[in-house]
Amino acid sequence: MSEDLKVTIGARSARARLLVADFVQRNEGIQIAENADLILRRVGRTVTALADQNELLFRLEAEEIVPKQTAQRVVETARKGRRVLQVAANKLKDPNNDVGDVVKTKSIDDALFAAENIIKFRNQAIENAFITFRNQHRPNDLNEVQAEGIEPLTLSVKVRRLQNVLASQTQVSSSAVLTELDKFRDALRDWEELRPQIEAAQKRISPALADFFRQIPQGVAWQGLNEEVREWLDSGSNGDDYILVRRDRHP
Amino acid sequence: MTRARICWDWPALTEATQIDAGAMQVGDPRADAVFLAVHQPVPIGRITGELVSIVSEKDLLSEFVKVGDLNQPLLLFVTGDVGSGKSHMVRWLRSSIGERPNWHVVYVEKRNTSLTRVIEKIIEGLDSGPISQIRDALNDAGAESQTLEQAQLRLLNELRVLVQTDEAESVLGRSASHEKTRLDGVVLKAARENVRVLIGDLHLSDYLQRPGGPIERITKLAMPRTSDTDDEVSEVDVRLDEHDLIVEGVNFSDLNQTAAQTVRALSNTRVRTAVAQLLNHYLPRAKARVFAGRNTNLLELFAEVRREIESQGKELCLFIEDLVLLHGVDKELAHALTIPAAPGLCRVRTAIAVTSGYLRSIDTFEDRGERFTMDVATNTVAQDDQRSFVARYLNVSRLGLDVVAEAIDEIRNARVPNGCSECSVRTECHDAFGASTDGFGYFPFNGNAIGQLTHLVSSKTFRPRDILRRVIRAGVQVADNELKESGTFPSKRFASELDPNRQRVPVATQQFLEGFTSSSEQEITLRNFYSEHPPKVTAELARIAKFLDIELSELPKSPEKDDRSVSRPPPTPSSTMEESAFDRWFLKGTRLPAADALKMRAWFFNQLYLRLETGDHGHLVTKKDGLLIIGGVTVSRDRSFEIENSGGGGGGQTFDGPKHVFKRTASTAKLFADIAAVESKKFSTDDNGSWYFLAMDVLDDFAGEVVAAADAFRQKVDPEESIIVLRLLGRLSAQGADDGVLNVSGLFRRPTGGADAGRTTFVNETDRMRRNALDALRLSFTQAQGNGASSLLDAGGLYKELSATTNLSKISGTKSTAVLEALRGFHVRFATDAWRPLINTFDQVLQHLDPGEDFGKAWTDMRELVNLANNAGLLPRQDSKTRFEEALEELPHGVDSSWRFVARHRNSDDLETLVWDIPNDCLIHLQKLQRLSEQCVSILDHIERSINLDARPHVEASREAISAEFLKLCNLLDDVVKS
Repeated sequence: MSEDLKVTIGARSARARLLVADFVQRNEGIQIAENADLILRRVGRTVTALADQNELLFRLEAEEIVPKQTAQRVVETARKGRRVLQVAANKLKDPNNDVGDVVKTKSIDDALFAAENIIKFRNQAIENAFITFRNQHRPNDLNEVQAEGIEPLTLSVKVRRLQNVLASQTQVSSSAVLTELDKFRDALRDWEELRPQIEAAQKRISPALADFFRQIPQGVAWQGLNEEVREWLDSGSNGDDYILVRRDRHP
Repeated sequence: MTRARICWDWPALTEATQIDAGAMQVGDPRADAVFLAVHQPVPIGRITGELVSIVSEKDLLSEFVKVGDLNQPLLLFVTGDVGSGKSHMVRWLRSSIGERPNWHVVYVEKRNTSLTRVIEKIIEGLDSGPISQIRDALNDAGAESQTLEQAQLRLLNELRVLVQTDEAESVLGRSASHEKTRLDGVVLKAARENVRVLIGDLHLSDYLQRPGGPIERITKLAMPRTSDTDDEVSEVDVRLDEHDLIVEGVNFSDLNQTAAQTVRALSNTRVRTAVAQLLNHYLPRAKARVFAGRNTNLLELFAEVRREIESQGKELCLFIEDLVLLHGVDKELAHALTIPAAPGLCRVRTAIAVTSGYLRSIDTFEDRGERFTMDVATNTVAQDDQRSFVARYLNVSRLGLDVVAEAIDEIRNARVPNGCSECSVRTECHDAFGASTDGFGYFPFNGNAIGQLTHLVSSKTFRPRDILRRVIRAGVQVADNELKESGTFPSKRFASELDPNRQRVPVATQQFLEGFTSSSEQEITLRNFYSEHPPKVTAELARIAKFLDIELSELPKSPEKDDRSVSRPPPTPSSTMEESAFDRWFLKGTRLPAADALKMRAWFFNQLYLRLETGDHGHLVTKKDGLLIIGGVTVSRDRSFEIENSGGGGGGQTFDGPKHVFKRTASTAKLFADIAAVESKKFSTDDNGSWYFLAMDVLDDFAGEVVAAADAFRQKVDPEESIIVLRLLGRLSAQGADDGVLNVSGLFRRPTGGADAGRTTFVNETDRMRRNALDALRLSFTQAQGNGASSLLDAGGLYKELSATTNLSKISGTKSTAVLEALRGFHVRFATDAWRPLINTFDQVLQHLDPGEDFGKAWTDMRELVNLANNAGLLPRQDSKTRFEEALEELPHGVDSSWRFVARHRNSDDLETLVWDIPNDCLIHLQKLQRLSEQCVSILDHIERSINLDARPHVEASREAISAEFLKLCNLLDDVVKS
């Protein structure tokens, strides 16, 4: 470095001190802005979720699905949170108040947390209400029908599908409740429509085969495989789903 | 035939002179008998403030047993260095107090003990409820039964807990050598963190516990020791030293980042010192917890001991052979022993052996007791007492330990049996070797030998242990071995550790004796150690020689040229027995091997030196590194004695000094062979030593040549040239305080080069010139005729001449001689070599500092910046701040004047003159400055790179948007509340 261009340690350190001080100040500004951004995004997410939930509840009410009431303590925190947010919104309108000071407080954090809690609580209530609805509306004869042996095969496949949908116990998230509700109602309607055909088809099955099908869940004894059953197993691909298992003598 | 015989029992002597008589078990009648039989009263120092007065051991005893107001605890410290006999003195006190039925005596010996056993010893025989509970607690602590490994782990664990949980903001750290240092602030915080990692990390903790490592050492010292001959516990070993924490160079695998950081930090001596001091602060507490149990309240224990003894109507009398054994409980003990007696609390008198340093390390302890010291000057111990000290051990070794043990009752009444009483040669032996006032014979020493050897091991302070080990044991062992091989005692092995060269017998005399007598080794040893006026043969020495059947030679009066007659003819070598290399050299013309040629050259060179050194020629003679310098003429061992057709001899280098050439002749070959045979002791006595006279003729002639050359040098000296040389070289003696006046007295001493390699080279290169110039001037001005080294007094005439002149900075002017040209060359090289690194370093630092930089301001600014940047997380490394501060702290005083000096003269054309003015340690100053500036630049570069000037807060969220969202959420929550 030539003498003219040289910047000595003394000069550089003085300049660097200014740079560091400026850096610290700017860093503080950036941090405040980032905090405000974070709050804005968090509030936005909460508003959207609550609004969507209101819409869903309205629809479910029309379907006569009524979730459990929100707990009183949650409502109380919501009431408090509401007041805090109202005050903060008013403060923000005054340009003399620093945005960072207003939004980065524990009470705002608590208010948002309360709102988020309400969303979680109501989602849980919706999911439970849908489970109750399915249990109440499930056909009584759903498990009495054996899809095995029903002719024609297309009818047997339909029976299996409807049984699957109507017997489902799976927990459904609140966002999927409406879709699942539609599927359940469609299956109910189809079951009612197909019931005469199912009953007729069941009557066409011989008593020996019917016995065989009834015993299948527990396992069928060798004596149960009479000639008629063996004939049925040998025809087409009926036997493909069966295997022979030896009973354990010393369970 | 010698009348000497082995009259001692070597195993008995070994046992009696065990490292420490205090290491003999107390209460064992045999050990007690030996202890009392060897005990020799010696003076003791009594310390009062800064004064030390000499008192006797009886005074010490009186002080200890005195009756009076003993409500104030009586505390006697017997201090002294390792091996001074302080434990011995405490043991003697114990054995001298007599029957004391009203005293509860507790004796804590250092033999075979441990921290736990010390406590057990103190509560031994006491059975009050609280003491029993404490005894149970001690047993529960299980300290006695735990293994070394378990104890180490527990100690480390306790240390970690104490260091981490103590919230003290400052602690008084202690070094291994007891110095106290306050640790606080960041230093304390960092030390705590380093300890946390050091003990917490598996690898580092393992390293601390390694075999031979510090934790093993400290733990072992607190654990039961089984060997009776354990070395004394060194107070340095009971603490940690910074060297214990050196982890540099240790190959740790798989260290995590934190541990690696600690390892790096520990490479710094100050960090290690702080960590060691911190650990030492907590070490006593940790040890007490491990070895006395966590729940043992030692203060309460000691108080209870005193209560219990008081209830028995007794007073406590406590002897401690070495206070360092109590490291861990010493503070509590100090406290308990210094509480005055009171109703319910017994009186107490205590005698403690302790080194002064360790005593100082225990706060307030030292001031509360009377201090006595065993460190007394050797000359305060009477000659008879010194001799008696040795004679008592010899006597016990003659009696044998069984006899001593049987005579315990007599010994207790100060009647020690005499091992010499039954000896058939007692009269002759004592007549020759002497005996103590108690009649104990000195053989195999005599009074003079004891005095001399005692002086050699205890020249200033009386050191009993060294006398036991290095005088008595070593001497008797040699005698034991050599008397078995009749006729060889006392050989050169006698006291060879203390005076291998037999300094009291001049070299010339030794050479004479070695050449002429077959018992020369014994004779030299006798003359050196046993004579009252070494190397003279006194009547006593003659009696000893007669007793040992050693014939003493008569020394020639002086080795003058004409005095070749000695009492005994020189031996004639038996070299003709076999064909030697010299025969082959002469007869067959083979080259004389370098090794043989070198021996001959060395022999003639040494003989020439002896001849010239004492010759009457008026020249100063010095010998060094194979060169012999006489009045400006140099004789070289390797090149002045040229042997025809031989190896070695300086190769083809030119040599302009005097030379003697040995031609390949029959007489030379015989002379060489004879000299070689004499040197290797293969001689016979049938030739009247004619070879010796032949060799002396050669030396006479050559010495004459050399003296003539020296005389010629004296004639041609050039005083003006010499003064110029001295005026320039006088700068070397100016020691940086050059006021322009020539430092005449300094010229007579060889200047030092110090740590500066270039300066050392210059000193070496010019030393010959300086000496020649001094010789020349001395010869010119004073016409000295005396011998010995030149001195200021010698140069009386020259002093006026020289002191009127000033130093020269470089050689200039009209006078030009070969010497001055050579000196100029050396000076230019010296200046160039001195300035080159300075300029290089300066130029590098100049990239970052101005020649006129205000250092004070620059470093203040940098320090503020480093603090700011550290808080903002803008420093390049985690330890940047520490490195910067260390570099700043290492900046020596005077660095700015060094910087400005080089800045001012960097482009000067006269660096030769300026070389004398370079400030001391200038290069070191610039290098430190360079290190600091590199630290600064690294920090500045990083800060400038890291800070992005364009980074501005990017705020998406406007106050309106947030407000609106808040209101929306309010409405939605309203719905919830209402529903």
